Amino acid sequence: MKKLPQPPRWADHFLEWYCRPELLEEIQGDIYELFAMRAKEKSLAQARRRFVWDVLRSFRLSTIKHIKFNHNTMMFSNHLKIAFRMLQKKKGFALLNISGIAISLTFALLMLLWVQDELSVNKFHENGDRIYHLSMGFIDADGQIDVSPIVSYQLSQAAKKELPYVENGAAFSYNMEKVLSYKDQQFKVEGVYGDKGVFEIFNFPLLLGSIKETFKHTQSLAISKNLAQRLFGETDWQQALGKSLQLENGKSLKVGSIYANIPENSTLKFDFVIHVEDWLNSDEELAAHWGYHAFSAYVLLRSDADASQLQEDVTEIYANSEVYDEGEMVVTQAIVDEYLYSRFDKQGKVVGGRIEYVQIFFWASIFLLLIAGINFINLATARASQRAKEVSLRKVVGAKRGSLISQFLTEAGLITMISIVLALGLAELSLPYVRSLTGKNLYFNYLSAEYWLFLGFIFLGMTLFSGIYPSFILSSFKITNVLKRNFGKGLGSNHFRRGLVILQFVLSLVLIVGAVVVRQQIHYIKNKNLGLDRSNVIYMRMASKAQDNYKVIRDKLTQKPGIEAITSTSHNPMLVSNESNGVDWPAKDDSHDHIHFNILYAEQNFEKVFKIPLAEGRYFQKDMKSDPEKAVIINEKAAEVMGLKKPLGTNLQVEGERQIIGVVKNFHMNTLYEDINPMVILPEQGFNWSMFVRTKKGKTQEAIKSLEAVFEEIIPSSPLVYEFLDDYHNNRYKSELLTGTLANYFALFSIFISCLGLYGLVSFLAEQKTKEIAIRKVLGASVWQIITLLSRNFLTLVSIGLVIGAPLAWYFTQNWLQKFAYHIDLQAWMFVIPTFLAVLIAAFTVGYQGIRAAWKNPVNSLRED
Amino acid sequence: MQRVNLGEFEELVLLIVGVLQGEAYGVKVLEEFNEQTGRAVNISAIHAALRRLESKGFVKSAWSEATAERGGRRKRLFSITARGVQALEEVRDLRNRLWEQIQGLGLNPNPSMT
Repeated sequence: MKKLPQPPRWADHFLEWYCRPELLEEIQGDIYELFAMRAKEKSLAQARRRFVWDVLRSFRLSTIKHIKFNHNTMMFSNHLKIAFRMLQKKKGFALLNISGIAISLTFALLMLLWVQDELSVNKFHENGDRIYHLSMGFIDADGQIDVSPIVSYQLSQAAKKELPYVENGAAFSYNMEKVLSYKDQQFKVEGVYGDKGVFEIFNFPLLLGSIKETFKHTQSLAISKNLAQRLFGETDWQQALGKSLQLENGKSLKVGSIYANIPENSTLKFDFVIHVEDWLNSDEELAAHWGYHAFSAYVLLRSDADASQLQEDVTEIYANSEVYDEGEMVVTQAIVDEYLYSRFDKQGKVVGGRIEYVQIFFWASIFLLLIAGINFINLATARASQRAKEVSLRKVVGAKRGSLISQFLTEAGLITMISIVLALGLAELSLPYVRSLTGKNLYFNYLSAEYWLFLGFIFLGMTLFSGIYPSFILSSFKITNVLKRNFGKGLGSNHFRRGLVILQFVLSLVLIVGAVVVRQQIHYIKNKNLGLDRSNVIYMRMASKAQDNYKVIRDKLTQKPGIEAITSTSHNPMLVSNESNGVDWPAKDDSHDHIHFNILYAEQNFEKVFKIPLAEGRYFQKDMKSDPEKAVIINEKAAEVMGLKKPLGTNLQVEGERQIIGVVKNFHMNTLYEDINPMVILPEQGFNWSMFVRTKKGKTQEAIKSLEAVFEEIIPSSPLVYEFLDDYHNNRYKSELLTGTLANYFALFSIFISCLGLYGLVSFLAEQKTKEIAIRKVLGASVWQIITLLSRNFLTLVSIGLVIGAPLAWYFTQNWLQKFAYHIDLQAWMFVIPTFLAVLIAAFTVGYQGIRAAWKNPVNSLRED
Repeated sequence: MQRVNLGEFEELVLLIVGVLQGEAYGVKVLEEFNEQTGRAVNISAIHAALRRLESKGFVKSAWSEATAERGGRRKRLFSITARGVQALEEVRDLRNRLWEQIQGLGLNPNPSMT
């Protein structure tokens, strides 16, 4: 038998769902019959469409089921109605609560958005928990471990080959800036030399081309879709495949594959990958020498491998090499951790990193929510006596305790709900600001289930946290007591309420002191005398063309307006990554073997650009022909480490025998998280990768024009990319600066919200004591006495809160500061001023209410009874 | 006089139920309605009208046997009741009375028309 055509199931189900059972058979039967008829006479598609239409048209008031109101929904709608009425009746109370919760929630939403983004970094790699990064743990001047993320090519290969549980590995260079040209267009791009492991172990999927094609020989490279689009336009990027691109040195490379753009939340970012062999071929040492640390190396472990073995095993491989020094180690870290846990202690163990900021902001958000929740609890319980009659009456009429509790919870829920809606709007409005502050493209994903789950969780959590205690208190009144007007004393909620006020101010003080300390530390970092003058200095990394023409550029530039001095160095003196233990001095013994010196190559005029003062001696001089061969400059720390009392004239073995001609005062050649290292400054010998230009004060614009003109004239094809040393410094402490800004907001809002609560409590108390105040006034009490009466209690609580909060704040801030090698000391004023401020604001809030109560004409208050 | 509350659409449906003589159910009424009036209506409108007529007591209904094209569902067959017949008659009488008066007017020549 032929199967009958079927109408759309969903429409049928919908009909069955809404239709009254007694009508269903007739309606459904008729619609089915029409469907069968139309399917036969016209088309099935049309019949199905008409079926749906019939079902929808049949949805009428007369056909739909009666909505069953059961007891629960009825009670709930009643509770909701009462809750709305309460809001309208007590506008001030609602306003205080809603604004407090909404503001703190806005903050929490934005902060958690940022936190979530931070936590997502590097999590997109499918095998992320099995990919481990290899880093070197060198021994520093004090004999302790100093972790550096770069290893030798030899080590990266050995780890891959020798360990049976390592499935695969990737090795690639640090990010290099290259000028790639296609036809007559030039592009400045950052990319790496890497092996095929880059595309095998990480989630960098190829869109076009193949790994095989790309790594067949050294004449090809892989480029990102982004770069392909820059080359061939938004839509025609696919054409890039197979095209030849020119490197600066004239070498041409064929595009063997195009890979998907690397996600924002990746720590590894590059727009091209050139076959690593190409780089290895350029320098024999690079491939062969165990001491040539120049590679980022990752290994992918097999899924059944024991990751805890890895560090030990790789260290052993390294220990068998010829460059191994006693105590050195290889540090391994999962790629998913390396962004947040980037700081190591002196034993090579992870001690923290950005995770600290993530935690700070997470907890600060929670604190702020707690403070707002406490406001609600306080105000709700304080108003308990006002509602006692209502509760009693309900009880007399027969309300059960459960229904009373659910009524008060409904009120809390309503307030939370309104606050959430407000907070969502506020958060969305302030999102652009947060984006520019954090430098991240943050957005709320309204389509994700997690987002709504999270909001649901916040709703429930906040409602229960702020509603459960008041609802139990309110519903526990004894009718007889209330009706005899004998309540209030035995409420039992007083201690609890006091505790909460104290807790609120403890939290506030921690946030405020935290903000002050963070601010001070950041101010200190920003303005710390680094030992060199970084203002008015332009910093350029030189590409090979610029490097080749450096002397011409320098001599031309010197005569141009706005330029004060020019020098070139191997490294930025604010980040000297170059280390060596190959420095010998007369009194050197075995105990000094582990000492690594930072080595900086510098040209003439170094001192004029950086203004690093000399402790003694002199700098390199242009006219002294012997300098490039024979001279060396050290810093004070080096003199100290070498134990030289009179360093000048001492001979050192470093790149030949050299005489110390000068000692510079210590300057920070690293971040302030790290100590100053011993340093050796050698005359420039072709490693001038960085160029520095000191501009005349206030003539920056002219200097930049001069730069542009000279570069255009001498190396017209190379784009000019520069940076101010000041910006470089600020960028480096970006997360600290961000913390500082946010800490200010947190402090501001926490005290604001706390005082909102206090204001509410006191105004309530004043209202409750209207008669008492009036009678006291009639009997001759002064305004001052009444203010004291009202505020004494609260100010005591605030003071207790602050006394408890101060040591806590001290503990937290001290902990944070310890992480900086150079930090401010905690000072009394950092605690006294915030405390004083908190008391002042609290007193002002309380006092304002007190005065209002005290100024009232007693006649008005008393005539009512 | 008892007022008969019968809308134009209801009246037509009631008449069709009468015409169909015990064979009237939703789809049949719909088809007959289409045929007789040339107006296309939705089945839900027919259902609603039948429900109203039944609640006013002008039609009564009974279940028929099940059929395959209805997915094994029964038909609800409507037939006109005595009150329904009476209502129709009343409406017709009213109309007739009114028509007679219009025809009376129509005998008067209208001067303006000439």
